[in-house]
Amino acid sequence: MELGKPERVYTVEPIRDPVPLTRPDETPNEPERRPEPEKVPVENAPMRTGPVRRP
Amino acid sequence: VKVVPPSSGRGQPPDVPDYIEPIIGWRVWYAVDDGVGTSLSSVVHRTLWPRGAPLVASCRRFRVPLWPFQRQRHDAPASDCKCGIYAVKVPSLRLYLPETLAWTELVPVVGRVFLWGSVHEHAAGWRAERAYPESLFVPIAELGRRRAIAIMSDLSGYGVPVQAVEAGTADGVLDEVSSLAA
Repeated sequence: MELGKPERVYTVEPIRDPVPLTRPDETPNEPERRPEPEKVPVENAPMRTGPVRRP
Repeated sequence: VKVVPPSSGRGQPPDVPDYIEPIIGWRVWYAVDDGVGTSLSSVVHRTLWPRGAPLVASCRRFRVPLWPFQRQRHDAPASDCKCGIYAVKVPSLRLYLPETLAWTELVPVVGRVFLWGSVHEHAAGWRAERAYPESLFVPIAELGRRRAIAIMSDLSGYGVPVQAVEAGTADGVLDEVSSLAA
């Protein structure tokens, strides 16, 4: 492939990515999961302050 | 009073690009079966163009063990080499299409391509460091309906517009592509 006489050299830095964001090769997103409730270690769990019932 | 020239801060001037929009050139690819589907392949080096990522140029001359003019490894494109990702201006595009479109295995695809990074401009086109298709035109005159649909569907994986061109000659394809791209 002949391009003819060289004329000039320049640097191109696009402010937007020329590669489209839609990339069908990627696997589809997993369905959103509900966040699990935060687990609190027993030793850090708040102490009960109410009355204690007898069994 | 000591006057400090503005350029004396850190010694090196910042790297400021010459352009902030990609250059758009034209190319011809082949649509080839890559084992999974149809991909774009460069015509000369048969490089497969990735989907969702730019093609990055590398010089292949130093890889040829028997090449009589060994060169040092260098970034592509280089001024004293012919390496880089090629694209041409519209008048030169005709040179890269076969006269008749009665192909079988290799299906030519015409398209526009974004070029960026280090870009060397020539009289008839460019050699670039990075490239990605901008739009694709598939001449379908010699393809069966099923094959045409399969190729266009696979090429849509590049995430850019893919259009069918019905003309059956190189000049007709270029006329149709020019009007579609206008």
